[in-house]
Amino acid sequence: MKKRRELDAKLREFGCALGLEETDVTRAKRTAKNVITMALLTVAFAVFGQVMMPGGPSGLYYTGASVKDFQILFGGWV
Amino acid sequence: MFRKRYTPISVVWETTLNCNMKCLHCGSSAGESRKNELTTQEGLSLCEDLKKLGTRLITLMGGEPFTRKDWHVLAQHIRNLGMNFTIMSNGLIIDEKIVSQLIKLDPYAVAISLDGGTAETHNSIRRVDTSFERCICGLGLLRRANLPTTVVTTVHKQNFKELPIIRDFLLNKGIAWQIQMANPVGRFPESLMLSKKEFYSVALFIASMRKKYSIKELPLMGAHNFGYNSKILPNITILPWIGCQAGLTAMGIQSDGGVKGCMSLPDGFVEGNIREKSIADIWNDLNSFSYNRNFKKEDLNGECKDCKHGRRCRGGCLTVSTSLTGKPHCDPYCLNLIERKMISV
Repeated sequence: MKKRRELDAKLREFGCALGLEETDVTRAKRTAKNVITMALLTVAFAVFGQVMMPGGPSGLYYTGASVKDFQILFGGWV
Repeated sequence: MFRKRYTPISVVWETTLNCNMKCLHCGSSAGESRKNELTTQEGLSLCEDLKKLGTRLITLMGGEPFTRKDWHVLAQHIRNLGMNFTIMSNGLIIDEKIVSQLIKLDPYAVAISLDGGTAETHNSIRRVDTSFERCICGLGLLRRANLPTTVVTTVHKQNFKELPIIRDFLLNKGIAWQIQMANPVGRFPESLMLSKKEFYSVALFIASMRKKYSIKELPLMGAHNFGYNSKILPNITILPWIGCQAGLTAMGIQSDGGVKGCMSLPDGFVEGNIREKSIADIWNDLNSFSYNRNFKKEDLNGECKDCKHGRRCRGGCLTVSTSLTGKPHCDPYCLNLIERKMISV
């Protein structure tokens, strides 16, 4: 509990520079839902993305990802 | 003996080093054209050779790619060959004529640099007094034409606090937003680079905004140098980091024909020139891109040496690593490392 409070305080300190409020900082933390969503996205990318996204994995990192990449991966703004 | 086959799926082509801006953070020190840049005919042949190698996406960048008079000839050829293209511009000379050409060419993305939420900041970074106004005008033209538009913001000490203003501008506009960190290469001085604490603040901002807004409201992502392996934050790039792709699925081509694994790498990483050797021979050479193709866990340096993610991560961004430490495979701007050192996780 103490460790969590210390972590939250540290994150709030980091968030201050960009005007993030306490709720913004709390919201930013990873949750189980994030981990599961990312795992599902990775599987979706491995199955469909390699073919549907012309830039492949490097296209997503280096070249200014397209709105189309978001649409393909997140199924039309899901 | 079995040899792994690599495909340059995504190629970034610096079509010219000529630029109508002199940006503070430019990693290529763009301004004047390189001596002996590729001609139109050489560019067209290059596209054909890339198609044969399996390339699917070519990113036309500069300098400023729209200053090259034949940019649309090259883009059309890419499309005729069945490949996609993205174009990365500073937005200064985008007008209705360019937008109408883009509509016909159907790009995968048109990426525009926006480095400040205010004219004062953007113009001082870009060193052109009217650049903010013209960039915003260009974005409006692209948006009205329904072209897939991306804003790229390169953050450093002079502008990172304006991210909330840029966010407010981009909200609900259907424009993708990529945030990347300026590295001390080219013209950018190391003194203006984000501190690790500031870097983490930006990562926190990206993570928070991705939770606060839906993808429809704000399609936001951190670029390849915004990671990696955080224990506290969710993934802030589109997909989890799978290691630097230079020479594996990515390739960079300079305007004079020099070939590198990634355009942001310094000139020491040029593997050959397409005027001296075919691009297929350079790409398929057993000795090319060995920093990634022959990577072993023992190649990790610095604080990445004992990291459990090292084999997959390969020490983060090669450009950040070499520019800051002089060594590959030890990018110190790592969320996991910062958390261990500054947040004691």
